[in-house]
Amino acid sequence: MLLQELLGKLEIEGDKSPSKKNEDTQHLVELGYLPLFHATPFFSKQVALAKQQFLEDLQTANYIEAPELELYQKIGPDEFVSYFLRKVTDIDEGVVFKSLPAPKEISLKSRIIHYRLDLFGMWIQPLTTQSPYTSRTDVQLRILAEHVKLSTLETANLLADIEKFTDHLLSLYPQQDFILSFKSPNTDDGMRKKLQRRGAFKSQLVDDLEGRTDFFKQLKKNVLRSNDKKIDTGFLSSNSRNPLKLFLLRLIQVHQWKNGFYSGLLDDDMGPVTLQSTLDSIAFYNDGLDGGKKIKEFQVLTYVTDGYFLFNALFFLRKYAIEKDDKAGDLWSNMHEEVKNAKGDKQEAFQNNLEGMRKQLDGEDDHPKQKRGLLARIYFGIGSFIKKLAGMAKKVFKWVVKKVTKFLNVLKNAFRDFFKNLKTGIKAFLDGIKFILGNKTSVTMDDGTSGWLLTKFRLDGDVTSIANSNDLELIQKHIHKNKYMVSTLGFALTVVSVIVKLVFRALNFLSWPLLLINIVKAFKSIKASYQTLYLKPV
Amino acid sequence: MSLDELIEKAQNSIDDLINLKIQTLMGSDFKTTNVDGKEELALDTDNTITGITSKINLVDGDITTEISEPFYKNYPELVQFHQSRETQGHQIIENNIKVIGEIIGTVKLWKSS
Repeated sequence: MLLQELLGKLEIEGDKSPSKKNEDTQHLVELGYLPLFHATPFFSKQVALAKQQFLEDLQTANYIEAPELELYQKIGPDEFVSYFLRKVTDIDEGVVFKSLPAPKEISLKSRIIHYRLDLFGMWIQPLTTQSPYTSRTDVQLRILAEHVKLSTLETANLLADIEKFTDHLLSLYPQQDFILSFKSPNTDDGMRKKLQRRGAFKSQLVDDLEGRTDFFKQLKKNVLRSNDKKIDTGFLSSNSRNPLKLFLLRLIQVHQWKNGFYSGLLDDDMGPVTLQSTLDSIAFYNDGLDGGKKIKEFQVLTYVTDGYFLFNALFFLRKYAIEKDDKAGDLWSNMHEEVKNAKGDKQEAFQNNLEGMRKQLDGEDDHPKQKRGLLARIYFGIGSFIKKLAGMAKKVFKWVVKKVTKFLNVLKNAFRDFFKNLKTGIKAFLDGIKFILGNKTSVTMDDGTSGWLLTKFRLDGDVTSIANSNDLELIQKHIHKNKYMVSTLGFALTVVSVIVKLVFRALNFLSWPLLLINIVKAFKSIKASYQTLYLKPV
Repeated sequence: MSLDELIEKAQNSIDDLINLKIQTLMGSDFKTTNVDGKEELALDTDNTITGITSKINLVDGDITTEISEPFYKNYPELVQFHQSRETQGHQIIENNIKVIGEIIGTVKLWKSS
């Protein structure tokens, strides 16, 4: 392929990939910088203002280290905004605070705390730019703190690591407290019949409670009866309204959403969509196992009566969190091997279905959606999820080739991240090539006057600037805009260098999907090496 | 464009890594010209000195700066701005010379294979 052809094809590929605008906008809504009704392409000015306000707040956030801010300035302005929006809304490795906000404080810190409470169902009204940290916030934090037996500050920080949070809860409460009941009146008869297998549920419960405990005996006697008339619905009703148990159901919903099994609203409705997501996660666990014991859905979730279900959340929280395998490596490196070793027809199927998935994501992800007036969130913080999938690259490749729809949301979550890194990686690569072939020009305009200042950077270090105005504000704006220009260009050149070497080594067996995976791998590895270089521990 | 053209353009860009030229000009319009095979920006005017031009020899450290008196008197902010551009010019070379060498080396190997 001629170089020109390759660059042209890459430019098209980059344009086709979904942008980060939807993710950025969603996070701005979640943090209260932007009202939900402004989260459409018609309000781009409001989105830009919200982003600007976030950036200003970020500069004064003393819980974000200055080296990290510098690092992402070097990588590029778009990556900077997206990275920090994702970081402050992350519930895997999110930010931690040394103190809570002061009363009536409105800051990035207060927004993050409100966001976390909202995510876990502890904040009723929509977040707005005017939501200060008040006694109301404090009350909700205290309720949560009471559940986890920690201080309000420790609780707010623990919400930044949902797995640690879950482990802490599992260690605090007796096993029986994780056997939950909920009412789901809209579930159809087909689902109820499918899950009405109390014998299997009881056997699993004996395993998980480590014997026929008093609680098990009580359940067996009063709830898990074959005769509906003898079932104690009062127990089911009071259990389903217990605040801790309601919180646990929400926690499971958040886990499901995070892992790509649940795409509904984060609310307290245990409806058919939430139930189906539970069944999908069981199917995923079974499909991902190699030789291990598979589980039937009705072993952990059973229909009782009158719309009530019993749910063995203990089993679920212990076993269905997909185990992270630190030795599994990186998902995209492992996927690279699967694609490389696949026969031509499978590679072609992979490429076609990947393209289909991208079109679907592009259509769905153009701007945040609403359902029943609430934000229909997508989980973008995929760090630990991708690590968990790393050991399942063979399965993931197979599911894409065979267009397996039952795990479509899981795949979309994983490949959403792939396409975003691909888009940014291609942009950096093309920026680097353009810099090699010519120059990089930066122009700053003055909104009020017709003043402008232009600087052209050449690869040999020559710099030419032309201005039609001596306005100090314009000059300062231009200097600020170009503060990290040289570093960003350096990053782009590094991306070119790595990709050119990768492509050269793989010349004889490089298909298009392999090239794209190589670009993602290269981009991520360069980012990681910059992090190691610039964020050295003290 | 072929690999040959990429190599040639990249090498032309870095053939003169010894001399840095930093210019800051004031004007209302500009054009691109070809000077010794290099594409350069210039003011679209017949005025002689309309800004500052610094030429820095990175080997022996010689710096030559030309600046017009009116420019120096009337545009002190742009004079300061010019100094920040000199720093950026140095940084471009410092940061990227090794990477560019690697890219050209790999592309040459690619071409010969």
